[in-house]
Amino acid sequence: MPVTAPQATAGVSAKAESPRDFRSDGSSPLLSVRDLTVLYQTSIVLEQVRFDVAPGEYVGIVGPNGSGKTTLIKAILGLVELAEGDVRLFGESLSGFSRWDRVGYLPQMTTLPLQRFPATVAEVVSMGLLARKTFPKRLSKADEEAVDRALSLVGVSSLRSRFIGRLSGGQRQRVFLARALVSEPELLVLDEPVTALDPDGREQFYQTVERLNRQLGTSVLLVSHDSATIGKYASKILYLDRKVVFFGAFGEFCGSEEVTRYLGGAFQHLVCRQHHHHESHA
Amino acid sequence: MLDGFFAQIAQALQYTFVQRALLAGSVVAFSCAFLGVFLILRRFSMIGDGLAHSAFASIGLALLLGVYPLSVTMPVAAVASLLIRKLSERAVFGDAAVGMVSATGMAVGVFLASMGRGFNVDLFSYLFGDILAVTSAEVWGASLLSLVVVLVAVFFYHDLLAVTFDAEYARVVGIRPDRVEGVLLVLTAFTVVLGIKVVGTLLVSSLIIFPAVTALQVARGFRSALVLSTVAGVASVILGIFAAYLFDAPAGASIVMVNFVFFALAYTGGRLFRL
Repeated sequence: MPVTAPQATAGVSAKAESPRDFRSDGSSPLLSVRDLTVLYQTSIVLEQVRFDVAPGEYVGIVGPNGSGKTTLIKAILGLVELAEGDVRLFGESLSGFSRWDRVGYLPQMTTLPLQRFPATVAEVVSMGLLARKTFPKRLSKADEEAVDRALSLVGVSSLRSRFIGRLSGGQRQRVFLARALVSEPELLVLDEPVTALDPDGREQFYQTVERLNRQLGTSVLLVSHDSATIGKYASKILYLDRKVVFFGAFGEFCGSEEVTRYLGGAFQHLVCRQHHHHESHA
Repeated sequence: MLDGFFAQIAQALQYTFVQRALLAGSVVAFSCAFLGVFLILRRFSMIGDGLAHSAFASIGLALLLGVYPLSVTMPVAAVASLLIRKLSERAVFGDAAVGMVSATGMAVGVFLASMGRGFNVDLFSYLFGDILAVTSAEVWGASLLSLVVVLVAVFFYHDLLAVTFDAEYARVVGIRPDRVEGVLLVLTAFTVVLGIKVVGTLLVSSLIIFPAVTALQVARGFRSALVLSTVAGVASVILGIFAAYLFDAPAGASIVMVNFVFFALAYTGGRLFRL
């Protein structure tokens, strides 16, 4: 079933679909975004955005600078006010959603001034467990073990007692990925996670995420300005330019003449070549 | 020589006003040093200055009206702390907000002082502190406040750490940073007001800044930063008061100088041992 955006934009026609007929197997989406509009003062940052993420899917979000990618992520996480529309996580509206341990979030490469921050890696990773804690929040032995597992999963167990501020950018980002994973979330939200990493670091990072997606079935929502990466790893692509220009599977994206007309053949070719190359080696 | 030093200390400890000063100073220093770690890491280190200066205005008003200064200063400082937060969220940068509230507070204090000519000497004691004149009620008030700070630390440690580290991420894990920061700032406001009595309006921010930055030079984790900061804060007050007694110097200035020595030692130690 073709899955495209509900709004028509510059040649990419779209047909609105209900959330339930999105998945042919009938399973409910983990994330459902409906007619989402976000304003910054009086200007529209996101307009009528609509898409779903089903269990096990790896959705890549691409788009030009200022297209609203990060705002979309923040809207999904309840960090910005919605002017219109609805975001549902695990079937629940954001206003009533409290199971944030089911969602792992890795923000953009942080610009926080961490150099003198005295928290250890273990303390930072354990912050990811706070969503499931009630007053008074206490970390148990099982939580300590969960922290160890998360660190091991991303290959940074040896950094457990190090200060977060004394790590390299790549190490720090892996620690933040461990923080996002420590609660064993079903949906992983990654916002430009590798901006400051070298090519090897990027590759290792994305391979870790791919392993989680394929082996554990963790759904992934990845924002990246690197469309080749999206082509390589994601199973679906969402092209955002304030509105949803395209949302769907790669087969649809790569075969669409409307996409070619709107986005240009070079972009489409780059994304699709990476996707086909990776699929043939998988 | 050392015997003479200890004899003088022992003699000083027999005076009730010295005992009260040590107790009040220690508990105020404890709260300041504890809160200071969060404020420094949140880049709000100068908020102590801003709150103290706004408290100065309310002290002027209280003296003009002839009422007990702390009864006016406490609520004014609490409102000022929330005002600084609102301003920094919506209108100006955080340091500019502190500067605006600070200058306005000082200006209002001076204005009120010029209107009531009879209380200028009292106002002077609030500028530089008068720890040896601390009352029993103030000792109780400071102790109660320290207890509240300890309880907040015990029950909200993880929330405080998460918000201080990254307020946006804290929201994603279900914490309300606005509430946590609000509690932190109101506690800071009350602590600063009591700190004015210890070291005065002009030096109270040192009780917030110095112990925390000293601890950050050598701490091996967030908990150890909190412990070291409070130890440094309390020790600086005790040693400062003794130094003031021995050298017949102002207590506030002595406390700040001891704090500077602690920082210099921690900085040097941290570099030497690569902590």
